[in-house]
Amino acid sequence: MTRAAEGALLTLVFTTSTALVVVMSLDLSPVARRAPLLVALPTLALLAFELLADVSRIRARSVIEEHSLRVRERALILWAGVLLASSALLGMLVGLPAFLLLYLRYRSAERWTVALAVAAGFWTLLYGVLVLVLRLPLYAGRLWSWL
Amino acid sequence: MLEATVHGALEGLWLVLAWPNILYPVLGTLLAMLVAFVPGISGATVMALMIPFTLAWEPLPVMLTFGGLVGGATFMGSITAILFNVPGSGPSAATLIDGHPLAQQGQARTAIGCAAMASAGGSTIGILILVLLIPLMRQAIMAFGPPELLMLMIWGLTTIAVVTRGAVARALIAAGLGLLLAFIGQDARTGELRFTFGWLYLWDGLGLIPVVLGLFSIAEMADLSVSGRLTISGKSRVEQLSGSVREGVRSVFTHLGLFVRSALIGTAVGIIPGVGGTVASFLAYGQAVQTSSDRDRFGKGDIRGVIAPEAAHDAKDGGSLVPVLAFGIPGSEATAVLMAALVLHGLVPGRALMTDQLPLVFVLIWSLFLSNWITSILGVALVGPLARLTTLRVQVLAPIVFALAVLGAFAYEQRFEDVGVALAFGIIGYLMKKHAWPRIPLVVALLLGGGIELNLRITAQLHALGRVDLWARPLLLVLVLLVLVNLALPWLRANSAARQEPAS
Repeated sequence: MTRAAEGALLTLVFTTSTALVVVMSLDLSPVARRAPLLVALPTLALLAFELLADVSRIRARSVIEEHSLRVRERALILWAGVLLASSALLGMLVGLPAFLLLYLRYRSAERWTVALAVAAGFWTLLYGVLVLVLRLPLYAGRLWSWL
Repeated sequence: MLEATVHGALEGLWLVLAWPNILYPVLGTLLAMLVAFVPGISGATVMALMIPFTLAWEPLPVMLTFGGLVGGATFMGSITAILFNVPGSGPSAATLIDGHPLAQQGQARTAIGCAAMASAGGSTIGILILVLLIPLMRQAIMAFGPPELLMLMIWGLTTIAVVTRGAVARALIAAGLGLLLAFIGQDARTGELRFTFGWLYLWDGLGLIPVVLGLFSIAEMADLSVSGRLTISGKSRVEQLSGSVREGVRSVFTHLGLFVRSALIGTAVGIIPGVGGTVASFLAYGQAVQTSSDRDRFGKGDIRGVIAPEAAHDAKDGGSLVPVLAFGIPGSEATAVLMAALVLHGLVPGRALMTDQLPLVFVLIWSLFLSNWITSILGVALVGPLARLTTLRVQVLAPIVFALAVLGAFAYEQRFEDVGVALAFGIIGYLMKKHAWPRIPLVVALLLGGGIELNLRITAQLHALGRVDLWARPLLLVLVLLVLVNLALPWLRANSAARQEPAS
């Protein structure tokens, strides 16, 4: 996919979402739909112009994005999944330092000592400030309740 | 009346400076500064968490501590905006437009020094004007009814769309999308569920903090990480950084007129209930752009783009306390939590508080003032280590910011769904940045959406009942004119540029 096509796809997502708001608003009472329609209709009109401009950009330029950028983007989405999964399963107190440790070691290729030091420092901040001082309840994680 | 105000102000000042009272705002400031470095944990969150600990306290230490908490969190939001392009709060979003490009050019020290001076100076101007205006405040506040508030918010929003770098149409679309996101959830008046897709989590609407964390912290770090840039500043050693604190502080005095104008805008907006610091910062930024002859430099690291929002943001703080204390109308999340804390301690906002307990009111104002200076001084003192953060390798910094963003998203309302929302908006924010869609109008519209809809409804209802004649409200007409000027400006500029081009 070219960069311009990806840009047009993003505009299309925005346009579809706004059109969906217009359609869903029609089921609401007049009071509840007034503000959404007042905003959505002009936004939709502007989006339609923007979409046309994006499509013409696709025709004018078709620069294929470099392969390495795509690879890096996919890797980052994968790491976002790891972050979500580790904090959901292990909880904030264990999952976030664990994510830091893995990311620094395997994505950033840092030495184990650096990765361990950063993860330990982060855990100390979490536990010291949020748990001990502020008594903020942190998400405990699903895994422990299953066990 | 003026004499009573001055007397109350002086008595309040002595109460703040007396030992051991002075410790409360200092400790409150330090706690807020420490915690506010975690993106997403705002001054309001810290204050809400502190309420249970202060239940047994007397009103005086409560006022002192909460003043410190509000001030401490405010400035740290600007620091994260400058260093990481992550606004710690809504108003800091205006600072990042020029603050972060300065950090990227290796001038984080100049930007932080300038922000510190503008903040401290702005809060001083705000407090001084507040002391002088307290006797006249009631009339000023009463001039703003729902139609004026509605138009003021729309003016703020259009100003943001016009001054943000990039195509104006895209900025207006982003603002529209932000408003639509703000309408998600249960309708306050009819109780109908709007755009929730049957998901219970969306009943209360989208939280601002997870969206901001996603659009800025996660997206920014993702972009840096993918781009292959080595460090934020592009420099790997502190010695390679240019700029200095002195240069930043001096820039405020070089642009004294802009600084004073911005502080006055901040104070004026702060006094108006329900508008908040975001509008103040962006209006100040907007006037900085519109009154300059070389406006093309804004958005690329112009120091004036740091002075204006910072001065307005901190000048607004003092003024914003008046509608809360005098009428019980909070203008922001922080002042709403503050009001709750005051009521819990038997301090009911209203005329009695403003007359019988005026020294106590000033304790809060002075405490906030002191806190603003402490944060600025500490900010300058810590500028070396803070600027060093811009030389940290992105591959080390990025996972830390990701983890802090997830933590901040959860800490906001202790809902794990917020983490998913932050990550989803992280992807959207990354794509928006990649394809030159401005993100700031979206965030500000999300913040102002509730207020805009509420005031629109009240205005429409009053108009339908014949209770308000919109043509007989000069302030409203002035605001409408300003909105029209904002919308027409980009087209006028484009036309004049097109006319000049063939001529040249």
